Amino acid sequence: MNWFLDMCIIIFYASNTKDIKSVKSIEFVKNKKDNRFLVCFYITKENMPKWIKRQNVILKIVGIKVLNPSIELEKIEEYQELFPQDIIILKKRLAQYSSSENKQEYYQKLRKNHNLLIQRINYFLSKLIDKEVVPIKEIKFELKSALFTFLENHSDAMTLASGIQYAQEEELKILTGDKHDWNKNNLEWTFSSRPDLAKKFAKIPEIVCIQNI
Amino acid sequence: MVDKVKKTPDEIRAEILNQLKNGPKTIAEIGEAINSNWLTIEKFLKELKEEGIVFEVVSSPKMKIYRSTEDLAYYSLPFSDEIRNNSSSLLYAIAEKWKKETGVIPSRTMLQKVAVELIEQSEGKIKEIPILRFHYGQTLAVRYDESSSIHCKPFNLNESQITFLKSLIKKYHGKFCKDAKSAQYKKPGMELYKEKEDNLVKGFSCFSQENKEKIEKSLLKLSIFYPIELKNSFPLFDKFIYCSTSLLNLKDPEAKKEGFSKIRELFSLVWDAITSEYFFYDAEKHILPEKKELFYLIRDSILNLKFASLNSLISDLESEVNSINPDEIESLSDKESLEIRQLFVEGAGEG
Repeated sequence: MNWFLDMCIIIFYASNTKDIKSVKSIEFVKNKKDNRFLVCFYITKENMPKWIKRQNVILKIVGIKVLNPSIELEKIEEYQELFPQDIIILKKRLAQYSSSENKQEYYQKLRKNHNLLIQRINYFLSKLIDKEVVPIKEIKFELKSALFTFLENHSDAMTLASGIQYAQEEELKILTGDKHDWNKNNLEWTFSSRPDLAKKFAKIPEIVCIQNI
Repeated sequence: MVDKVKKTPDEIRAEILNQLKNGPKTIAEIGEAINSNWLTIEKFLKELKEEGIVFEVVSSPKMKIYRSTEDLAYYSLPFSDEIRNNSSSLLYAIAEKWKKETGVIPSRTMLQKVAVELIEQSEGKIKEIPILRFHYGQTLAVRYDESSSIHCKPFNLNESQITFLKSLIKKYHGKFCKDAKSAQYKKPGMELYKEKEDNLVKGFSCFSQENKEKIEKSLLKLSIFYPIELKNSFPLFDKFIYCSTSLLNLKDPEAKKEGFSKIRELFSLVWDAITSEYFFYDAEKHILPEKKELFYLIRDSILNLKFASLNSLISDLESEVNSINPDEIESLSDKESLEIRQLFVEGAGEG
């Protein structure tokens, strides 16, 4: 079976926690056998590098706060590079840091866990992916735009569009996390109002949530 | 340009060397100063280079920069005559005093450490002598060379400076350089050096589980102390720390030992890159505006070479690390680590 993987699956695998999504992703990878893992170029070349970069920024800002606790976040140059959801993660990290018993040890632990997570991501991308599909420039704009109407998220629209596009070439299942809006109903609703797209992308792939595997 | 006055080859050689006495120069600068054309200067510089009297600092198709091999300034940077003379004469004055008090001349590193301590504790003109961070901590802009310093006039120290110098000589005579280094590294702002000296140097001495843990902890600590102003070496340092985490946590003991050796070998080059950038960063503040262009050419030539060779080694190591099966690496399973990693899961779905 061809599995088209959403980026979160790689991160769940790399995070190696007791969370059900992480446990299931690791299990899924271990049982790969003859399954083929497909990832779109948008993830490998754009979204994942950007995600890693933002994690690096979070790590750096925590490091700056360790050395200078009174510094205001907004005054740190790299802070501007973060998305609102990254800022939430940063604030949670700072809360973890504040409540840790040994502050310097917390940062070292954060850095070590961060490095090991990145190693697992890089390993996944270099060793476990069978094929990278749909060059970014070849993602059909009209499909991506149509998906965006219900996803309201550029990254999700780019990834899902890549998956649907590639499904026209090879049979596949899309594997994601708990993205409730990635479902058959939403796709059918989108294509029902766009017969041109429904004709062009007639093969709608099955979308599977990792928790349900 | 046409030679206006016919000079003998010996005269031209002497004039070229005189031009390089106080720092590096381009062929064009020398030519303009001694009123000779580019080809003549290049011809004589080539001869002097073959004789080991001058050295080519920067060699590019567009620009060649030369220095005298007797130039005492580190990396032959174009510091002003005042900085060169004052720094050299202070080192000379300390060496002479040390010799007079103890009968011996201290090591060059010891001399630099004492000079820095003397400058920091003193008032007046001596305060204008620049102190720069380099491989072994703070140093002056020039090295000490006994044979070259003979032509130097000792720095004029006042009574209180002489008294303080005597106390420093008494404090460090018979001691190792590491004692003077340790004293310097205790100062605020020197945490990076202190961490390296206290834990990395000792930890790298031989492989053991205890040393492996010491090294790992220390490398992670270095990333806290990493000077934010050193932007160019940071990506290399960061990749190095990334690689070291995986290599030092391999489950297989033999593989871990091998990883330890790789980290140890590479660390010296990483340190060289960071502290070289530090040196240029500090030095830039003491370069006169008219010498800035020359300074940048030398800096970029030296740092680019260092970074390029280090980058290639680190990239190879990174590829090696990225192909290690994560199952072969020990991960942290304590509660705090799981909480840390859980936040990655929370942020996973967000593009």
